[in-house]
This record gives sequence, structure tokens and C-alpha cells, in this order.
Amino acid sequence: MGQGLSTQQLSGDQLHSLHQDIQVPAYDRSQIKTGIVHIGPSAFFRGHLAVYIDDLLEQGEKDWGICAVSLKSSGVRDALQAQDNLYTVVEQSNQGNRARVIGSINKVLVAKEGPQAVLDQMASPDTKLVTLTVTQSGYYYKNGELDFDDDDIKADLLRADEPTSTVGYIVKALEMRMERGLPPFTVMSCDNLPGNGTILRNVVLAYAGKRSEALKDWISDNVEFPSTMVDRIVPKTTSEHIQAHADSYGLSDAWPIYTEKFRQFVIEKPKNGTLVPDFARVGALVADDVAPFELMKIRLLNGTHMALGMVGRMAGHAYAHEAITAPKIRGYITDLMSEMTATLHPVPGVNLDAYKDTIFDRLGSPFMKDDLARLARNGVDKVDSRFLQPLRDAISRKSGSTNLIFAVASWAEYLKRSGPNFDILDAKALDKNLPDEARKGGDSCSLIVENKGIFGQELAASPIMSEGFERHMKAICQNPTDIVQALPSQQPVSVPATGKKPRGPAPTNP
Amino acid sequence: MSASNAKQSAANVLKVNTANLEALSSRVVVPTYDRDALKAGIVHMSVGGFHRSHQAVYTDNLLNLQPDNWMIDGVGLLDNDTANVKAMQSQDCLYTVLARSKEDDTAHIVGAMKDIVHAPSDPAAVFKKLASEDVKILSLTVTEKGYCYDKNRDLDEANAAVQHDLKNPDAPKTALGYTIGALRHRMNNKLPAFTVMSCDNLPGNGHITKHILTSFARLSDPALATWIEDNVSFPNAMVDRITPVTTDAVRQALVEKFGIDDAWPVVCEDYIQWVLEDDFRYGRPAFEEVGVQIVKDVEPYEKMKVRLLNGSHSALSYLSYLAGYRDVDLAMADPLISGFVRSYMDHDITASVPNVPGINLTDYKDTLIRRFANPAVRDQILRLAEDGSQKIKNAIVPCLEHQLKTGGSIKFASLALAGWFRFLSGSDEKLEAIPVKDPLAEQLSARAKIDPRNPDQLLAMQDIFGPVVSTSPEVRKEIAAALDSLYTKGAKATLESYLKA
Repeated sequence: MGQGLSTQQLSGDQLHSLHQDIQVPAYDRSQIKTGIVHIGPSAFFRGHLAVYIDDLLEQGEKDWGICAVSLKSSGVRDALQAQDNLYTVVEQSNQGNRARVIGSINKVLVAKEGPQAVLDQMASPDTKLVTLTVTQSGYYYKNGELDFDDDDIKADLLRADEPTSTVGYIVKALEMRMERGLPPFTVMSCDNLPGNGTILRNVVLAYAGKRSEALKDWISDNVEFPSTMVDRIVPKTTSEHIQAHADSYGLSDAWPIYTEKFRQFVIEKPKNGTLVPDFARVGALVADDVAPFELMKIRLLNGTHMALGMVGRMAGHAYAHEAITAPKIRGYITDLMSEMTATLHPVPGVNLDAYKDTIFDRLGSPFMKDDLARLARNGVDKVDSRFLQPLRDAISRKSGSTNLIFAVASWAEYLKRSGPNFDILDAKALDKNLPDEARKGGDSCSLIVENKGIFGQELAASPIMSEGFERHMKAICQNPTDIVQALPSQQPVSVPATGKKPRGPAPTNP
Repeated sequence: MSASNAKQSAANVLKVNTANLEALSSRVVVPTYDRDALKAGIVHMSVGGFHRSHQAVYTDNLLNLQPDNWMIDGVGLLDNDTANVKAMQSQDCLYTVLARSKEDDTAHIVGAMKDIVHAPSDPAAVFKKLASEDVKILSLTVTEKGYCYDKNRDLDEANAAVQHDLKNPDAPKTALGYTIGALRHRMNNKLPAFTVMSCDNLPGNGHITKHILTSFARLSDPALATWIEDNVSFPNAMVDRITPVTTDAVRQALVEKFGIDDAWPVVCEDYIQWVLEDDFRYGRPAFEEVGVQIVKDVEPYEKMKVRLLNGSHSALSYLSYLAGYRDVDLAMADPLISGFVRSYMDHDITASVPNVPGINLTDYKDTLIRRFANPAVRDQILRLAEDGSQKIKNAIVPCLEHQLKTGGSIKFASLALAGWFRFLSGSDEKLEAIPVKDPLAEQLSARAKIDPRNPDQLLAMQDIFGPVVSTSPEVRKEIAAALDSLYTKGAKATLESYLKA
């Protein structure tokens, strides 16, 4: 497909002549002011926040162009500057692909090459919002506080006028605004961390306190740090993507973004004022509290992912879409989700059944190539929030728990299989010798009883837990080569039939 | 009268009402004043156990001594007050106070309440009472959340009840709405105002009430706000008497020991205290005649009481509940709990308690421990655990701020907060469901469950913890360690290790 097309370079003056299937900005980009500084122009940012902003600009808003800032790497700047900071986002789904050119990035700066330009932009009166996708490490957050031993933070405190870290830039820019008598900007983390606004606020205040108490107080009194919940799978762009892009659309884009159809954005309503820009206009949910959404996500999405990762991989699958389309595994995940749902309170503005349907759709998409081993990794850090707390809830409210307990049993089995040919991707579990303990426990519940530090004394003492766990472990041990036989429910669920075949780039193997 | 009376036979049991008062007078103390002749000079919102065991008792004592027009018209404010209001009406607004100590039970019948109305059923009746020129004082016990303030203790204009009252001034939901409406009527009709007396456990309850009420008035009528500032006084008060929820066991005890059949008696401890500022623009009862301390400045008393009594109540409630206790006296009989309360007060709280004229803090704390342990009162752990978000903000957070500033101990207060966080996760150590009652319950429990051993989500609630505690790495570290221990070892083993260290 697409072999006959000549390839066209993506650029601002060519927008009108692009392939007819590509949506392009209808707004006049030259009229858009820069009102947002975004640090960390990752693929996720370009497939998520920048798309929401593009939607806003399509709605006629003019003040919210983005200045994207890479702290160190010049890769994004170099790729985008030849194409007027435009790039394509392709949403892939079983219903077909949808390509659109995103015009919301006005410019890209590389902080390392010119810190002052970044600070000037952040301190500009036009800048109302600073957003971040810098991953967990960009917060320098260790055991609940700013890690003052980190080299970046130490360096920034010594030379605050030429920062290198996210925190250093934010605090310096706020200091400039305070000194100039300008109102502050809102700082909004778009990283996938529960309570991201709180974490950001904590590190910014801790750092600012080292600069001056007055600055810290000013920030504490005036700056909003709304928490957000973000969700969209945006895989790394590969050379196959770029090639497929040229083949399907005849478009040469140095860095297109291939993502799923689904996207979600929940933003905490600022306490002292209104959220700007008005993200609610373009489908974001603005809520009094993001926590109920986080709870829903950590159980229904992240919990399901971990269970599918473990069970699917032990059943011999490699990718999520393979495992979730295996009828018995799908049946188990369906039942597990039902048990999780019974532990949740209603989430305002969300239809839980529809949310669950999107999870199945997303997992079933062959385009995202979600690696099961990745979904199952770092279980020690995850098991409490994904399975153990839902279990405490389920047992105490006397709702179903057998599939949740099976998830814990499958984790024990997963640990047992750790070895040179089966990397569980969980350094902490190895440190704690959990695979050995799980093997020693055999089909008894001793793993749980002897590791109250992980499982908690309540579950260790619960007959429902220990009886269920031992029953599932026995079933697993009886037929270790076929874990599917041990699933609590043997009710297969088949994938609902879907409509048309996708066009555009076929699934690629990274 | 003493409980040593012989058990009453069923035939001998008398209902509490005006007709039976004379017969009852041979069994217990009854009102001696002419309840029909005296007028109500006070309207009280909202009538619950505490008002009836405290202010109404002082008023009743005074009326027995000096009959005057200071009776009380009561208002039931909440939808579910219907049954209690009916119970009071069915017995001519008379009721029995059962004061219990370790040694003895005493009962007496209080007659200070003249009438009672249920606001949600008949808002006009409330306004009618408040319009009477006989009324000189409006007193309030509406709990912390009844003041509808935000994290800065300013009026929370976004509060749903506040919004309702602004739109429905003739049928409000909050005591604030009724007060504003009544004062507007008085202003418009050139009548004198009344004094507004808060009897809730808030630091500077008079100041807060004034600030909130005038802010509320300003939203609809700036002239009214000014008129209130010029005409209404708001005395500060410190109130104290432990008053558990009335149970059937209490009704049964009254029948058996005193031959009294009371549909809604009140049970309380024998201790009672009221410290009051003399700021009543339109006169007041001579409360000093019946033991109320009238002082120039209530603040130190209030701080002492809220931090040591209410703070300890919150601190002990969550850990006790997790350790399996449901009654305060039984929890206090466990040396782990009473030892914790003492350490909490001594190490983490006392340093931030002001010097109070005439009070030895060591004696005061000894008395508190004895009062908590009073087996006759049988206070409910769950009563103390209610509305944690409101109580902790006033009773524990200011002490932690003080300790952080001065480098004092935060260990026991942090353990108390970890107990609360663990409690909010919704199931106890036997995996039984915990009934969490709090205006923020949904938000709190979602935050407690996202990542149970990590306190960040809850600590982030600045409305409760304020900017200092919310972002303190020291507090965060202490709570995280305590939470880990509570999940790993349980409450009792955790308390043991804290007390040993």
C-alpha cells in the first residue's frame, strides 16, 4: 500500500496539500501566542497534552501555544525544526487509523544550550502554565522528599541562575516573576504518578526553601500545583513507524507519533481560581479530587495489567493482545475486574462499564505491542495497591475475592519461576529472596504468613486468604505447565467481533 | 439521688412529663421553678446530647436558684433529628440527665427547655422563635463542620449547604442561614439584635463565628454585615463534658435504678466545665452563680482543652479501634492505650499548651486520663472517631506545627495520624468493614487506599494539615514508618514498640 505515492516533506506551507486522510490545523498558527512552557517533550507529551492543546486551538483559543523545552537532548528540536514544529499523530485502532498534524508547539528550546532563553520564556507575562512530563526521576523525589544529595540538585543550588534540573528551572522562573511583580504560573505535572501535583509541590517548596523563606512562602501562598491523571499508551517511535508513515501517507515526518485511540486526562480543579486554559472544553475531566480516578485506574487498569502480565506470560504468551484474546484468560480478567469493581465507590463522571470496555479494547489492540513481562515487572512495589488492598476491601465488604486471591497466588508462582530463562524484572523481589521463599512455600501459604512486611498481618491471619491461596497454589502446582487449567473460573469469554480492518501502517515489530 | 435505691418494679416506672413531676420528685431532683410562667430568653441550635448535658444543665441549676426569663427554646437542625424532637415534645421537653462516675450514678430531671422545633419540617417556626424580642441569646452546638469554613477558616462559599442557603433564605439548612435570616429580620424591623454564643470545640469559637457570619451576610447584603458587626457580640467559650451517644442500655438503667421511663435521656460523666467571656450585649443569665468561670480571655483554656482532651480523643480512637476496642473505658484499661495517651500528651502536646491561670497541667492530664477511663460513662470509640478531618485540623495539627518549629517530639502524634490513615482504609485488623463517618469520607478513603503504606496522598490535603505539616519530611517519615508497622505488626505490637523505645 502507498507504494505509488511520492513523498512530501511535512512543513507549514505544505499543509493544504497533504494526503486527504490527514487532518491538519484549521487555525492560523501565526496568530497563536505562547502561553504554556512544557518541560520534557517526550512522545507521551506529544501524543497527549499537545493533542489536547491542539484541540483547544481548533476551538478558537489563541493564547495557548506551547514552548517545548528539552533539558539536555536536542533530538526533538532537531527533528521538528525542519518541519516548522509540526508532527503527525496517528491513532491506531481496529476501527482504522486516524492521522492528524499537530500544530500546538510554537517552538522547541534546548535548555542546556541556553538556559536564559528558557527562563525568559517561563518568566514572560504571557506564560500562564508550566507543564511537565519528565518521568519519575525528574522529580528528584526520594522517600517522600526532595533528594538534596542528588548531583543535579546540588549543582543547581550552587548556581541557581543556570539551572539544569526541572525543579531548578521552575523555582528560578518563579523567583524572577516574584521579583518582577508578575503573577505566578500554574505548574502542572502530567507524569503518570499518583498525586503528581503534591509531589511536585513538595520538591519545589523544599528547593525554594533553600533559596529563601520569602520565595518559599510566596510560592506556597500563590502557586497552584493541580494533580492530574493522564492515560494513553504512546510507544516509542521506531524507524519502521517512520517508513510506514511515508508509505501510507506519502509524508516524510522525522518524528511521527503512533499511539492508541484512547486518551484520558483528569485534572484537579485549582483551589484558588479557575483552571486555564479551559481543558474541559476538549474532553478533559476537571474534578474536585483526582484521587477516586487514581483509585479506579490503579485497580482496574494497572491491577489488570499486572495480572494479565503474569498469567499471560506463564501461559506462554509474549504480548498483551495475544493473552487477552485467549478466551479462558479473558474470562479470568473479566471476573477479576468484576471483583475490583465491587470494591470501588462511584467515580463522578465515569461509567465504569464503559471504562472496563476501553481497557479490553486497548489490551486487545495489536498495535501497541504491550510486552507482558513489562506489565508484570516490579511486583513487590505494586502488589499492595493492585491486589492486597482490593482484597482487604473485598473481604471486609464480603464481596467476591477468589480471583483477587488467584492474582496473589499467580504472583507467588511467577516468583517461583524466576531464573536465567525467566527474568521477572523485579530487583527488589530478588533482593528480598522472594523467589526462594516462594519455592520453599510450595503450595502452602507460608510465603504470606512469613512476609507480613509485604502482605500485612490482616491477610496473613485471614482464613479466607490462606484457604483460597492454598487452593489456588495446589491447582497451579498440579499442572505447572498449563496455568490456564488452574484459573478459578473456566468460563471462556471470546472477543467481540469488530468491524472493519485497519488501514495505514500495519502493526510493526519493534 | 443515688443509685443505691432498690430496683424499681415495672408498675412503679413513671414516664417523664409535667404531670408526673411531683411523683418523680421523690426519686430524683426535679425543676422547682414555674416552667409555664418563665419565658425563653435563649434559642439553641442544634439540640443534641451535649447541649442537654451542659448548657441546659447550667441553665436549669440557675433557674432552680433564681427563676427568670432564661429558659431555652431548642431547635433540631438535621433531617434525622425528627425522632429526638418528637421524643422531647412527647414529654413536655423534660428529660433526665444521668451523670455516671466510677462510684455512683446520679439522675436529675432538667426543665430548662421550654419548647423544641424541628427546623427541616418547619423553618418558619424557627424564624418565629428567633424574632421574639424575649430572645437575647442564640447559642450554637453544630460541630466543626457546621461552620462551613475552608482551610483558612474563611467561609467556604463553594460549600453545597452555603449555596443552598443563599438561594433559599427562607428555608435554610445551616445554623448560619437561620442566624442571618433572623438578624436580617431584626435589622429591617429596627429590633435589637441578640448575642451569638458558640459552644463548639473550635479555637476562638466566638471569633470564628463572627468572621463566618459576617462573611456570609456580606454575600447577600453588605449592609447587614455591617449591622452585625456593630450590633452582635460573639463571646468565646470553652465547654467540657464527655457525653456519649444515648443507648438503650442507658434508658434501661434509668428504668431499673430510678423508675424513670425517658424516651431520650442524656448520659454523661460527672465532670463539667464552662469557661466563658463576658461579652453579652443584651444581657445574660448569672451563670457564675452555678459554677461557670467568667473570664476576660478564654483562649488559653480553649487551647488547653482542645489540644489535650479533644486531641487525645482523636489520637486514641483510631489506634483503639484497630486494636479491637469499641468502648473508650475498655481501651483505656489496656496499659498500651492509656500509656500511649499519656506519652502523646506529655511528649508531643504539652509543650504547645499555654499556661492557664490556676491550672496545674499535670493534674489536668491526670484528671483527663481518669475521665477517659470512667467505666460508667462507656463512651463510644466510634463517636470519638467521627469527623476526623475536622477535629484533627484543630486539635492535632497546631501542636505538630509547634513541635516542628521548636524541634520537639512528633513521634506519638505521627503514630496517631498513621492510626487515622490506617482506619480510613476501611477495614480493621480482622478484615471487618470500618464505618468511616466524615464529611470528606469519600475523598479520604480513596486517598487511603491508593497506596496504603504511603502517606503522601492524605498528607497532601492541605485543608486539613496546613502548609507546614503537609510538606514536612519529618512528619511524612514518621507516619510512613508507623503505617508500615501498623500493617505489618498491627496496632498492639506497634504501640508496644513505641512505648518501649
